[in-house]
Amino acid sequence: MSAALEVRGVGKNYGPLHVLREVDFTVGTGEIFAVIGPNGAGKTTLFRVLTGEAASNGGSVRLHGEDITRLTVAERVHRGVGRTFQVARIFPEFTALQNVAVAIEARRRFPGQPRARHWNWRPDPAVVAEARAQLDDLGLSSRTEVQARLLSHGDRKRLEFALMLSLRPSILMLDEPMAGTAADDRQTMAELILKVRRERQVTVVMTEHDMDVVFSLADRVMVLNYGQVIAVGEPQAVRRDDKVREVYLGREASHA
Amino acid sequence: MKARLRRLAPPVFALLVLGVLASLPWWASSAVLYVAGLTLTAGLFALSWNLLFGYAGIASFGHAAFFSIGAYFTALALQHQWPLHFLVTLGAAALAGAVLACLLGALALTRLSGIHFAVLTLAVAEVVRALISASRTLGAEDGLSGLPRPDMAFGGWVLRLQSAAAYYLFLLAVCALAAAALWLLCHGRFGRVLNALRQDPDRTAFIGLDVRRYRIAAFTISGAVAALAGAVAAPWTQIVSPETAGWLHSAQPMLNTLLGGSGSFWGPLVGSVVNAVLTYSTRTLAGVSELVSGAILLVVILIAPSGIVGALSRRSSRPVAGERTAAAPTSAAAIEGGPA
Repeated sequence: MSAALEVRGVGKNYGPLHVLREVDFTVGTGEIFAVIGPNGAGKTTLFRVLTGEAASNGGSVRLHGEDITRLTVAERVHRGVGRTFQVARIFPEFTALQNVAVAIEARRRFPGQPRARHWNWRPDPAVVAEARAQLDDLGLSSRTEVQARLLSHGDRKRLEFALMLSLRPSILMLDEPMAGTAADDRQTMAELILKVRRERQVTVVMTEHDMDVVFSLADRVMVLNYGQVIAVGEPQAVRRDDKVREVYLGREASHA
Repeated sequence: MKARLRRLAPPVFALLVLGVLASLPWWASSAVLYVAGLTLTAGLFALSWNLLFGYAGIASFGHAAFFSIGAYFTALALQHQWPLHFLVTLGAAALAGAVLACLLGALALTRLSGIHFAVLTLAVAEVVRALISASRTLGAEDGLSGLPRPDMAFGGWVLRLQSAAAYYLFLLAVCALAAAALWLLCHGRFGRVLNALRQDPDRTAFIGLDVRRYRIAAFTISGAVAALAGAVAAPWTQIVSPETAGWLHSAQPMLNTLLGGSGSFWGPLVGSVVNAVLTYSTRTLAGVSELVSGAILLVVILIAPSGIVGALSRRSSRPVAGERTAAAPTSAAAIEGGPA
């Protein structure tokens, strides 16, 4: 299995506050890799560094062997990085269909794409058809004409997923895909992640608070605490790790 | 059949408005004609501002800087009779506005956003005003007056624009063409991207679009159109003064846009017309005319926060057709008479 993502010695500090220290890990192609840790462990910061939203202080990030440490968000997206947020980020005034269509139009102009007509007066019918198919695929076909701000929380999450998938990413960065969703939606989202991985051979890096989800979905789990990696491995091994039990699962268990 | 009527209504309406405006020199008084000309340039100025505000979500408090650059450039060219075709003068004026906007955008739009950027533009406009006031060449505080209107030669044929009627028609043509160009821009892919950018810049970056580049592009185009509005306005008023760059003048496109509605492409034009009608019809109320027109503006903005066009389109709006990827402005524009 070749490496999709290689992170070496990544640090991030805000003044004297070290949010990430010397973070090292490798994610294999096609793997589902979960990053967990208590609140404030640095999961979101790590995500921001990996996607280019925040610059790291030292260290390097390689995507499919290419150094992307200094690239902007858009440049990383061109190279296959897709991302969802804890609270779905979509275009609220656009309809679901317009949301996906604008993403497809953007994708058709990524560097290296066959040049689409420069002056796209109305969205190409092919774009609209593809957007419909994408929404269908995620079970949103009855929502195509609904303004995104009027969608339910679960539908927004799925629309955001559709937006991301329409860019044909090779690595999905999912920041708490289950956050704030109902039990039914969790099941649907988990099945969706597995289905996408199966059909598109994508790599998934996710953070998640729901441990049931993490341990049922992830191939490997990494635990962060105070910005440091304290364990990486298969779910069962991580579950048994003493340090992990102490700082994280121990606390979870005592709550349960 | 009904759908077809709805589709045809906007262009027919636009042609009607254009026709009425073009017929003004034959029946309106010279005062009305003068106000109409001012309103056209104010409308174009407001459209340029709303490309930033209503589409890209960037506020500029100093847009008069660009207007004044265009106005002074044309004024100099006409007064000193630079050997430039007038169309070239207009193009160069727009280019000057574009260059300033592009520089300002490249320097500041990455680091600053929202209110900070808006205040920066205000400061830049004040600097422009101060520079004009200090420059003898530009007439200092007195400005440049008695500007001659141009002739335009096309091969052996010369278009004379000295008379108010002739220049007015030229002004109308330039403003209509510029507005049409902006309309095309806003309703094509570029407009869709700006729309997305306003709604969520982070998501826009995550669909792989260079947010900074689009912001700078929008600012550059807006600066160019504002300068063009100034450039065609100068020969109309035949005088330019430092107040052209003043903050009161910068407030004008904002007021017109908010009055007409920033969510619609045509809102700023409608606002400019309503504002002009208000100002003109209260002009005889000595001393209180500003008070009366100000109060009316206040009332409109209070009862219709989305502007006149916004209020009208909410009354008659329908679900937007799916294939349209332009946002709210489209539906409003369709009702207010944009050529579809």
